Amino acid sequence: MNFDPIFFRSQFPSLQSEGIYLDSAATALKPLVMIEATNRYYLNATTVLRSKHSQALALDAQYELARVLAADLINAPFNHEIIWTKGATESINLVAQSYARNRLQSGDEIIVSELEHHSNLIPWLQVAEQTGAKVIKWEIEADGTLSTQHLQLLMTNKTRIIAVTQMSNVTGYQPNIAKISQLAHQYNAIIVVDGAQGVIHDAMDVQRYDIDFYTFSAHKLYGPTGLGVLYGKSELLQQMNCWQGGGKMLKTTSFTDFKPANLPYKFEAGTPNIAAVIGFYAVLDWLKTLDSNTAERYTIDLVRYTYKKLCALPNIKIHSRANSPLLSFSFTDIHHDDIAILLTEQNIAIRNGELCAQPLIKALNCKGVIRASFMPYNSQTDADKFLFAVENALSILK
Amino acid sequence: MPLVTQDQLYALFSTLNTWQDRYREIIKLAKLMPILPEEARSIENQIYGCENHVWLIVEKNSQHQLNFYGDSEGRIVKGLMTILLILANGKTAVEIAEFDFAAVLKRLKIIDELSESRQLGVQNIINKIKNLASMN
Repeated sequence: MNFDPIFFRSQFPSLQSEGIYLDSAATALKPLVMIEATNRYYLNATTVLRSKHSQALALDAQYELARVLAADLINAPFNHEIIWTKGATESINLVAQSYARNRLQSGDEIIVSELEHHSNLIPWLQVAEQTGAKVIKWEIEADGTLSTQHLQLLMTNKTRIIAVTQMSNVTGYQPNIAKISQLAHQYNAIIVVDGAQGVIHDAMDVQRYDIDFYTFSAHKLYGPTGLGVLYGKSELLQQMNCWQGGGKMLKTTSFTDFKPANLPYKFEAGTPNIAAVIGFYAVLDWLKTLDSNTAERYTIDLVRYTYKKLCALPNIKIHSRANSPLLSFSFTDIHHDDIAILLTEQNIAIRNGELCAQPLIKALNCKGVIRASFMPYNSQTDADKFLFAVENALSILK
Repeated sequence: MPLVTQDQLYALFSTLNTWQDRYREIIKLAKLMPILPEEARSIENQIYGCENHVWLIVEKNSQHQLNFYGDSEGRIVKGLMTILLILANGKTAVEIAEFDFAAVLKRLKIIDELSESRQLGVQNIINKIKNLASMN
């Protein structure tokens, strides 16, 4: 397999417009295979796991095959350990409410890293409030990294959960998940990994790293919006309460009680997001043809090139790691919003502000950042146009 | 404030041919508006829905004319707000309720240039001006 950037780019219809898309960390662009699969589904729309007519049965097979591909992607031991959710946000809320809420007792501790997106902080604050547990902040070091030695000092016999990102959506930093997982289990705690950013660049091997819960959203991985994956170890998922009640999450019910369905269905109440699962199946199948290592190296090289040129600008502070697919920066003398407005003016799609990571932005000692995020469909021309636009913005703001 | 009038704004912007020049002028206009003191930069005075912090307060004189003071962390938003306040200041609550701010921004060739999300930001400021006026 090899990676041909021009061919790869040609598979994304939206790149035919004039703008430069550097906001993939917010959501990735969609390849034609996904758009066509979704379209086909709606042209023949039917349901899954309910009706027994032939179209519905054919769709059932593809729907379940998507689960197999998702399990393969992260090397999950069993397909039934893959739960379809609305997205990474819902997945973490599910773990907080269905796993943590019944287990946590007053005084128990949940360690959450300072790098986290609000999605991997607020659900823990909520469950802490409900149970009397405490959320403990695992602060970043001066260089923006997370130290596992520091983590060890925070761990106690009250530690129940460690919630950590696979890759920061602001700095692109990737914590040492292997070591964190080992520490968690040493203290009989569990590890919850938010893979929303990380999965795109390096799918997690949940067995190798002994991850208890792992989640990601399809839309950041070239897939449809409104779909996420929650992986959980079978033995944990079995013991957990159902998430939502509704159709097909049960075996039997009466007016007094109900018996939950087997995994994964006990967590999938109601008609699922079939169109998204079918679209995501197409993406996962298509991803198998991509030489992801070479594609990732290509992306990082593009970021390195841009990083180096940005470094030469006056009063710039780069907050992201040089070897990451993200480029987050701020200027000491210019508000990020002024740069962002002028980049938008020049048809450059970036993201600015606190990036749903207020505690981290505070720790980085700035008001917000400008984030340009790259994917293998971006080109050297994209990088050059972006750099030109930043310099143009600076000259207007001078 | 106001150091310039609506007619002066028209005259000023009619000489500007490029979007870059219009932005340079917006940024220059931001300097007309004094920085709000820390106590006025409160959560109550903040306008939500903006990417940076924006504050707006109002005073009324004995002739029922309103005078707004605003501030923002970003220079472009502050400049846009300066333009809006040049238009609003000295008017009564009734006059402000009837005033078509967007039409003026269109004539200045500002509003078409802003991306949709920024237009929304400007609309938020206009709404806040009208809202504050209606309460005074």
